[in-house]
Amino acid sequence: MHNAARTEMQHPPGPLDGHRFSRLAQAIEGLTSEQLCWVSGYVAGLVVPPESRQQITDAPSLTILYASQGGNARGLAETLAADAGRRGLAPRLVSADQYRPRDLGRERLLIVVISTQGEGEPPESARELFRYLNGKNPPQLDNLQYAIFGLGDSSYELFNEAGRALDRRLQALGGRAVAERVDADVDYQANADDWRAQILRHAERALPADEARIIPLQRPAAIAVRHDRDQPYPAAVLDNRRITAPDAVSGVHHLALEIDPATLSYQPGDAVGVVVKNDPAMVQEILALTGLGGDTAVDVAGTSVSLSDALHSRLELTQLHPTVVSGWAEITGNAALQALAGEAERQRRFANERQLIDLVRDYPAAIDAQGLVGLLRPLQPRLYSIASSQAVYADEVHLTVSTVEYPAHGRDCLGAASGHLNLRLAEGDTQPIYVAENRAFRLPRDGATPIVMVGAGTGIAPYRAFLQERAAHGSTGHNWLVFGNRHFHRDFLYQSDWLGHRDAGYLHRASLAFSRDSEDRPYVQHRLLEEGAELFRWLADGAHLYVCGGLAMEAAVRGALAQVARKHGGLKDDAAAEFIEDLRAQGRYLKDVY
Amino acid sequence: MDSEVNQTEIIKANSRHLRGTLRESVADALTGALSPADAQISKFHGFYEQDDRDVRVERQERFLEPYYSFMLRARLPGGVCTPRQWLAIDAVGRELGNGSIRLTTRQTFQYHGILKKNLKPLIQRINKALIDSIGGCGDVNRNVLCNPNPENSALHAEVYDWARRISEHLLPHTRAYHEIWLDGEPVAGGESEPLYGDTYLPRKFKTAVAIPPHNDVDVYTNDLGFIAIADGDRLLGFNVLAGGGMGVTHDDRSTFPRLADELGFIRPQDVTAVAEAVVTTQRDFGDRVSRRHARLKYTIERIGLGAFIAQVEGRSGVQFERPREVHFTGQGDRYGWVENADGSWCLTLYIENGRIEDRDDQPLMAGLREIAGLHRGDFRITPNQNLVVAGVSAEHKAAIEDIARRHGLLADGRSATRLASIACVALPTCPQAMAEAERYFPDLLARIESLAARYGIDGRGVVIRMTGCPNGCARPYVAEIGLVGKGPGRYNLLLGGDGIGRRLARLYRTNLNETDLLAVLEGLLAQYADDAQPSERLGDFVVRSGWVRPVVNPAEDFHDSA
Repeated sequence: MHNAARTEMQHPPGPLDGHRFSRLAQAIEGLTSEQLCWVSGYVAGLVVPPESRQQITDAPSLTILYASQGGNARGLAETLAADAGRRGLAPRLVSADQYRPRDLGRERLLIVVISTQGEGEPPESARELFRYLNGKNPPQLDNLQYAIFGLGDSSYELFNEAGRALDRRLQALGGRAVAERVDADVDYQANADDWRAQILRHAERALPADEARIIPLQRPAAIAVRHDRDQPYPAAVLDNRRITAPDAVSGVHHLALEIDPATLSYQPGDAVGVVVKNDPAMVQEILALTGLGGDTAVDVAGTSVSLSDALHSRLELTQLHPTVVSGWAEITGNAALQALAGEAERQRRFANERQLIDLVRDYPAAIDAQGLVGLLRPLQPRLYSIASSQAVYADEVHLTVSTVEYPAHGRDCLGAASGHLNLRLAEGDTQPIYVAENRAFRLPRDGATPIVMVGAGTGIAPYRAFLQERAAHGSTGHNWLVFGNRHFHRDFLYQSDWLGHRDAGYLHRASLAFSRDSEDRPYVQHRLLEEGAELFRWLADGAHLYVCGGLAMEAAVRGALAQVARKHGGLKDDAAAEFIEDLRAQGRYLKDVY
Repeated sequence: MDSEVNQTEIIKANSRHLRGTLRESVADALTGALSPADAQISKFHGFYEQDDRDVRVERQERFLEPYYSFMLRARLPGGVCTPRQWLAIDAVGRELGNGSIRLTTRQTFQYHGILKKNLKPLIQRINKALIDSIGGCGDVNRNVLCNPNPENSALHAEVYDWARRISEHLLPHTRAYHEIWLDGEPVAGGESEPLYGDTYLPRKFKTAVAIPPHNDVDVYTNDLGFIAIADGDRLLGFNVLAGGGMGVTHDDRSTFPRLADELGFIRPQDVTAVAEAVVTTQRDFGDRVSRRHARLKYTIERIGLGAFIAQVEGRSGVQFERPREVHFTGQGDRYGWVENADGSWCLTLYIENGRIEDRDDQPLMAGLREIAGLHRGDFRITPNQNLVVAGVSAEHKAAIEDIARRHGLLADGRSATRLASIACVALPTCPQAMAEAERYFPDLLARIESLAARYGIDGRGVVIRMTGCPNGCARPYVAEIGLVGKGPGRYNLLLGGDGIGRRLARLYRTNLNETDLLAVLEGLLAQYADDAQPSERLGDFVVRSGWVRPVVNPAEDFHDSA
């Protein structure tokens, strides 16, 4: 494509600094000349004062949605879309499983062709849509006009139930049907022809052709409030679901939070700071063990709050700091605790293995409310690597959170943040967050540069963002995923995403290490060693190597890399170490470890 | 190649004699599945891609692909294997399958729940026991059925040998199976496939050999059938049948079950030539555009029986003689001990749904293992999904019976109806299933049994067969009561098979839930109890008393109302 924007552009003199310029270059990389013309006009339009601009819609005026099982619904929807196109309308034709249910609130004219399964079920592709519409936070659809064509088989008891149910639901949520619902039987063609004509007449009347063609755009708000840990952004929880199988040891959740893209923006590789709250049950238990009243007013950093509020949302209860242990030792006068004070390492380990409640229970002390508050440290936000790209989900941020759960000291311990996010946060709740930039873990500026992404467990999260971003931009660089976890069938995080990227040509190589599936207990570093020749070739081709996961895993990866450099690069020990250092210096060995 | 042929034809043609990219698909660690094209090719190697449908939606919501696994169906002509082979079959099922062995209506066994990485080790293990799975599924001749005939071992041995020879003769020549699974020398698809050609058959092809008076193989439901004609234990030849088949598509009137036509009588030495001629005629005349209409039964309807017979005679050089009289007495198995002419004994065990596994109350797998440990004869899987311990010497009889009794393998104490009835696998593994079968059938039977008891007819056996879809693996269209899954908890009810496999059942009611189904059956059983003649079978009664009109010519009248 010789008209495409070149990926390597010189930094011309001008008001943009190098960083801004490279981001611009990255954004327009691969565009055709036609697309570039459009972009230049669009950007110019941003300079014009808003009031002088024409009102623009933020969604296509006509959306044709189909939920097909055997293909009839799709066929009918396609015919309708083609007819509409010939009449100068610009419909968006989309399958229900490709449709984001939340966009319903922005639709103007929605045409649905939907089939019904045996027992009145909607097709599998429409499951998410139905789940959303019947969920706890259904959308307001007061502006929605819609029409439904149902395909069914009258020999079944619940004839066309999917179409009927959808009709009922859309109406209940405020939508207005612009044509009577059709409940078509096995021989639906005649019905379909009449209905198509009716829909097209209505669409032409209701939607002027030029308006239907307007492409949705949104201008970023002029000055965004900068959200940080002190002033977090209140994100609505859109989705919170476990993504490991029921029999998996670790409960990993996928969370989708809604954000305003004009206010909050992030890059793949960035993290989100999550402001968390402690487990209310644990707060109650601490109050009971100490005999303190939850209503007692205490002072936390100059603010007066109740003790239970302080314990719930202000103070650290699960990550015990050594100073808390020494403070507690003083109050109790307990000899064993006091003995720890002299041995920093033992005390650190002691603190590491316990939460406040273990201390309170095992070493009872008489303490007043303010004394307890004074002892504890402020509750810290937790950071999670972002698992989505704004190139795909402009107004969402996705997180991948593993529930920290383990038995210790005679009880089941639960991590404060992961317990809060995975087990106590529900769809519709508000979660305060902020973006924590991570410039040290960015995609290569050049989309043609190959990347190797090494991750274990939830360390796979940023790579989901990486591939979304690369796929959205059509980047040509090859992508290699090296992923490890326990079991293929239980813990293959986002497996369907990776398969989708591979089918679309954005995942070129994948190496998997499921440690509990085979006797030799393979981990990611073993795959790197086995495929060392290939890894060395990728690095020689300029690949960037990313490592995300625990500290021990990163060390093992570095060790494997040194071996690969020795074996396949013919390097001596020193040179192999230097090889990694060189990669790091060139910004080609990037890690995000915890 | 005709651009209109169906997608499967193109996959076959491009597969380099069934190699496809199976090796690469198996090595692909990102998915537990094969590529879609390889999933078609794999059937010719004996295995089917399946997924656990109980968890499909749940996994989709978790970004996990379906829980894929494979069902492997062995090739075991006539269902015969040795005790040593049985021990190997058992061990493989426990170690590389899901811990069970499923006996099938095609007289073979299949494993479920095989993970992709275990396919090759599994095939190598059964190969060591001299068992393969070539053509277990796919558009070739499938496992050849042969009546297990416990009474006459001399005749059985001779007829079984013909079944085995038909099976060998109709095997594909490709070395793909040996190359991919057994590390055989690659010949890269350069070999020729003289019988099948590069695109094999248009559809599956089923062959059975029956020994009257038993029609347990349901010989009329096969694409190709042989009925042994014997004088005592001397084999004279076979009546040849062609064009039977069960599969139907719901509500598609152009599809129908069909009983095979008689072509004529042949001498034993002409068996393979005639079998080959039937296969090549179907190869050349079968429908390769619509898989729904690709079985031999539609080919014969289309070109006419006379033209078909002329093709077979011309290709084989064999002239058919007039078919001999045959007389059949039943479709079921003869449970318990039967003595052979040679003084040895056969014990037919009852295996509910053909599912052999170790349940707490019925450790069937362990029991069979124990029997195999001391048995010196052979095992024969029956077309009703049961197992015959054949050729037991008088001295082992008591010991084997004792083991069978302790492990719940004997038929004793079950109703005649239950012993005559079968169900296919269906949910959760079978991708075709629309409704439950194996998991639900025993409970439904219990309800039917109590209805029968209420009307005092629990002593009269009825052949009831249930499938989860209309493809008909459990041959419901020749049952006295056929139940064919239409949707979750919904079945089409067919009535009027004759209990010996020579009359098709007719569709009586569609889409019944259990309550409605039992209401219909209660009315039927009540009337049967009152009005039937003393030895009249239920299937004959419903026809005589006008509940259903018999199916005369299914191509014309199968879909007519009862």
